[in-house]
Amino acid sequence: MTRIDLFPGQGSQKAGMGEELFPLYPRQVALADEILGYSIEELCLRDPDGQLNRTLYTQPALFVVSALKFLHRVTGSGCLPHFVAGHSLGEYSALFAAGVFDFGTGVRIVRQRATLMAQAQGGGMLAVIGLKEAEIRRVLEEGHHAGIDIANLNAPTQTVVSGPVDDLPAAQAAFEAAGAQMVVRLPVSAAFHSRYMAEAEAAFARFLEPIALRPPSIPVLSNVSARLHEPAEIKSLLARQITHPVRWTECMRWLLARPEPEFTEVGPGNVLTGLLRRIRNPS
Amino acid sequence: MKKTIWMFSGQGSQYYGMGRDLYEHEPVFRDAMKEGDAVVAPLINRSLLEILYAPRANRFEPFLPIMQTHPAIMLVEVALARLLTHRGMRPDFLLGYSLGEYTALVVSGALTLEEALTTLVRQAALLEYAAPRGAMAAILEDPEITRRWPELFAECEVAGVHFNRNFVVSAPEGVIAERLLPGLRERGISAMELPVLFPFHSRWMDAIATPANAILSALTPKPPAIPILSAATGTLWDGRNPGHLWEATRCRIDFGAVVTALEARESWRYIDLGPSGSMATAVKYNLREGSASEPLTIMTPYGNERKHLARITG
Repeated sequence: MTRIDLFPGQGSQKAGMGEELFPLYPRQVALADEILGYSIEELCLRDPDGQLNRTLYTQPALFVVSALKFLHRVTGSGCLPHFVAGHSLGEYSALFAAGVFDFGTGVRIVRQRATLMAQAQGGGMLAVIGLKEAEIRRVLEEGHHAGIDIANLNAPTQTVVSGPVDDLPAAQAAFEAAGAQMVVRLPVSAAFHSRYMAEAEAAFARFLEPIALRPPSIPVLSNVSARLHEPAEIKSLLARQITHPVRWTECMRWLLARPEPEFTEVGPGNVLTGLLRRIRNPS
Repeated sequence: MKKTIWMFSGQGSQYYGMGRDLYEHEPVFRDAMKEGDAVVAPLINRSLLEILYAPRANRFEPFLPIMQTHPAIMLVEVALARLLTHRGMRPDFLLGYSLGEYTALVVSGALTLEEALTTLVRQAALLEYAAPRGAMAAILEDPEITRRWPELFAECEVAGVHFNRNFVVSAPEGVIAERLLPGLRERGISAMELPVLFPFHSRWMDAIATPANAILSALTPKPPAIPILSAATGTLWDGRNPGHLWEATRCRIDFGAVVTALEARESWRYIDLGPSGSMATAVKYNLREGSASEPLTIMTPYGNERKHLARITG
């Protein structure tokens, strides 16, 4: 049996998340508050100013809840997973689980990533359901939608694309005309995982440079390479993740090829469990 | 005849290959190691036996990963206790130092080996993922020097006092290797860093107090069949209130005072069942001139465990 822990990314947040965890880890919560400059518990539980869905706040909130949930799981059983992986922001929770950085360092890194990604403007994202990757690429090529990048390959017929706000309506119409079951504009402030995030990538790479990382103690998958992280490549892959597609389907297929894989989604919601079902059973 | 105390050491006394001579030649020891490994390996996804006894490129590499060292230290101590019991030896008291208090609970029958190993792996996971990293150093001087040079020890805390001119300090990451040890060297004082990744027995451990106590509160030890002395309190512990095990990890340990109190009563055979013989050494330096007590060591990093054992069991 292969135990695999999966960590969700943006979109899985919801008010009330982590409620059972905050009282159990007061020092970790206090440390996160100190780094972030606000009460993470207040944000996650009550979201008084309606900020939980803003990238700047979503990312640290998800990281804290997923990291505490992992901590609670592993100290509850003493049992470590054999592999870990996380979707986009979730990759940071997975790296925490792999021992690459400690909790406080994780909060600092995620805060910086969120800040840089929130600064990007003018872009947006579309979720395209019902078309395969090859069909999406054909639509983009034949329709001359050169401004659109593939951002997430979430499941065989679930893809997210990114691009300038002005280019999205034409792309949406083209996907619908090509037979997509559904094309949905995602409530995000920029074209994440695309070329339009190049400035954020460069600034984030500079930020990561002096931070000391430890080699993973549990094998952890990279969103960008869809292969296991190598210690020397972690920083460059994390920076590139900001401008590159999340190759989630390939990550999951790699994990599904392990002996008797058993997956647990560690974090709020069950988005990744749903994706996994579609990857396992594409029909 | 002198009464016997079995002593169990904790973090800092471990090394790769500990107990190898006994593992290779003593079936009772080997069976206990296998029994414990069958509990731990499915949790940490690694075999402790392989970690401990597979050939290594550098056998002097410090043995550090906490999720391996925590259960491994207790397991070799329990395995040695079973071997001594098998040879017909019976202790009058068990004396646990820090992690060694878990061993004492198992050897006294208060906890099963499986319960104790699982709890230790859970505590190790908590340390690994939630405790601030740090370091510890043993200093061969009177602890009084911490008052003489307060600036040198500003970011350190005394974690244990072992004997006249031997005490241990803890500090957050970086402090010991970068400032304390060079400062001590300048002053001509010998000191050495211990093979640990966390500042045990210091205020920095408070960061995990709440979840650590939550893990311990699930334990329900039975009354110990052999009385247990705690190095943390210097008194007998009946196994109730498992939160005591957190105190044993957190508070400063005055081992010299524990030995002095024991010596004031009578003379003892102190047998160190830990991997390095460090407690027997500490006892030796706490004995007054003319004491009839005998500190004895079985396992050491230099091997010859069967020879040491034969001398003790006769």
